[in-house]
Amino acid sequence: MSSNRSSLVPRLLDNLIWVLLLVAAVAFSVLTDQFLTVNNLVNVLVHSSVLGIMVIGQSFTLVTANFDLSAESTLGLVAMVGAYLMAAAGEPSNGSGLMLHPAAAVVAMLALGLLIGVINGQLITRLRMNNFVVTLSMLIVVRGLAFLLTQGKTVTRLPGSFKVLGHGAIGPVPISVVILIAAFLVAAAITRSTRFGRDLYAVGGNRDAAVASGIDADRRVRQVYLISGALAAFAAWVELGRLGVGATRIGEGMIFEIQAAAVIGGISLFGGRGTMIGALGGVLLLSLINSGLNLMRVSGFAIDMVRGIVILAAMLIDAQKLRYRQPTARPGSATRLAA
Amino acid sequence: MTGKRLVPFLLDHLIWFLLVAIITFFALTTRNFLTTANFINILFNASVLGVLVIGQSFTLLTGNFDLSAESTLGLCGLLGIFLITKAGPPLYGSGLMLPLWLALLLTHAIGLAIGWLNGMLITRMKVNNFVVTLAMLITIRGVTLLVTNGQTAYSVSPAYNWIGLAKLGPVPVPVIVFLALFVLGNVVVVRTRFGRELYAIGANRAAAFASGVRPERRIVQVYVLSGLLAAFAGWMLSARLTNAMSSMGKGMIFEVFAAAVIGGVSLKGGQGNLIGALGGVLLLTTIGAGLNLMDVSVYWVQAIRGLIILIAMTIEAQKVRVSRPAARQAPAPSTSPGQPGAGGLSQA
Repeated sequence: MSSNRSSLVPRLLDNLIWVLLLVAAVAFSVLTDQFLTVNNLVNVLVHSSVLGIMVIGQSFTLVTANFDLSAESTLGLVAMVGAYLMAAAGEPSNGSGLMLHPAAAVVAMLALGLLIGVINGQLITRLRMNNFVVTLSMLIVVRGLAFLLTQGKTVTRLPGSFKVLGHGAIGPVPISVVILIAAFLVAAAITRSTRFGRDLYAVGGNRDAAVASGIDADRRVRQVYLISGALAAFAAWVELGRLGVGATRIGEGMIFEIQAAAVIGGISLFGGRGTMIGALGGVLLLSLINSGLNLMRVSGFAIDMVRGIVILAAMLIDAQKLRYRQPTARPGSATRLAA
Repeated sequence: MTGKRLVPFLLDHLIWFLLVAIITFFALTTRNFLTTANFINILFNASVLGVLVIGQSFTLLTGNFDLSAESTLGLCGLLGIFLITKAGPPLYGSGLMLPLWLALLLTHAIGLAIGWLNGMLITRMKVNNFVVTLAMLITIRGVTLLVTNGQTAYSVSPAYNWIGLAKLGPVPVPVIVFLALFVLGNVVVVRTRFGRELYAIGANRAAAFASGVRPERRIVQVYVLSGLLAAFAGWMLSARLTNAMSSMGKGMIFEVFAAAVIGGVSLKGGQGNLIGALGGVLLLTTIGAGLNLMDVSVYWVQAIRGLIILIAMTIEAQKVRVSRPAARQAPAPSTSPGQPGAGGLSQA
């Protein structure tokens, strides 16, 4: 059916996210003259960094057909704990008074992120609980712990050397941008070129077939939750450096944006499909729209709505892409391996 | 033998045993817990969450999510006050001063339209239900921010606030309304053909279609119901608060899911009923009220509630494992229990 059309349409659809990104960039360049400046483009990347790191973690779990809703709370709790360990006790710092060295605090933060990942993975694979339910509960529990830690108080006055990931720059390039790009390249290499990565697609594409072909699916699922927890902790390091204070609400509601970016970028919620580079496109699109609308002086209140509509439109196009490719198959019924 | 029959019985009515256990615990540890006033208070606090859970349960039965419900609640609750109230400070209404009936008609029509749009995008355009309602969640919250540019609108209309604050004798109106809706909803789900078709679609969509059910039509209908109930819940909440912030209901969807799932409504569709979901709502609300009475710091309440949710879900998951080998309706061989194509989530 599609063979008599030109090969341009399928190719455009395959790289849809980059087409959308280009369209958005061109539109904003025409509409505001501040958009196409090095400064602004770097700014877009800076604002992408925390979301981007979170999206990588989520994409790892999504490729195996698992959600990690708890990631936003992990980000929040880890940031709070890190700040708490480093800051002085009492007002106005509201820390523990332990005055931990930043390096030790980072180790503790990563360990905490890993611990949350372990709990998620164990509950899902050993107790056979639904991943959505487990990570939904963890989202609530972990956010509760973040509130508990300082009774809702904001932790301030963090050591300067800790903030280098969020604030520092190498020459003209902010460190957070270097991290963002490096993290995506590493993640893309892992998912594309390692056995581990191929296993994830197999588990997400058809779990029974993956198990039959000798893959330890449960182990892989535990590993992706570890990665997601660790990356959420890493994102907490960057975010805490950027904000300079630990607030109990860091990351609250972010999970919706994380899922939206991953899915716009072509990561399927049903597992087994999508690439890390595509997910990066999703992150960039959301940040680009944000920045462009800001420059156009669109009211901050309208930006949320426009973003929602853009996400919806991108999803609509994406859904048509699937129909266009497999006119007879129903969504979800196809059990294809890595596309 | 008795042991063998007791365990499945306990597991089938797990939510009610959990509820009794929690109530007993609080009754023993807290002086003011076991009072009529407190129980009425629990039901009062459960009412808005309950109405949202009814709508969500309808969509979940068919194997579909409605994440957008919390935003629909926020938009419709804010619009209800906005449309009937004077412009500018201190009330921040629109100045349109619509009659109450017209304002409520409009907000419920908007809820209905949002539901219809969700349903059409999911069934006609074949967009995944999680994705559609996620995008709607973001979009509608954005629209809500736009209505008053983030300002809180205040209601001074006793008629509008009636649904949230009035009492019939000692019983608050929202309690009567939400319990009635649960009973009505459960009758629809359990006793009508419409309800049975929802189970059929959620359990096995292809089989339901083959036996003459029209899944797409039913799915649009459950989203319309969910949108309508969310609009109603928005009225209830803004009436109780006598004001509406643009962030009203934000984050509530997590609690809605938790209540439904603890109450035995499966995320994969086809399992559970509204009376169980009511149990889930009551459990969450009872825990909140009990911890409050125990003078537990608000900062502990969230963590403890989350932990209890996690424990309840863990027990619930074990129930499926225990009961599956003995009494599953489908005599299917040991294939994956996930339902491909039904729009549910794949099994972890």
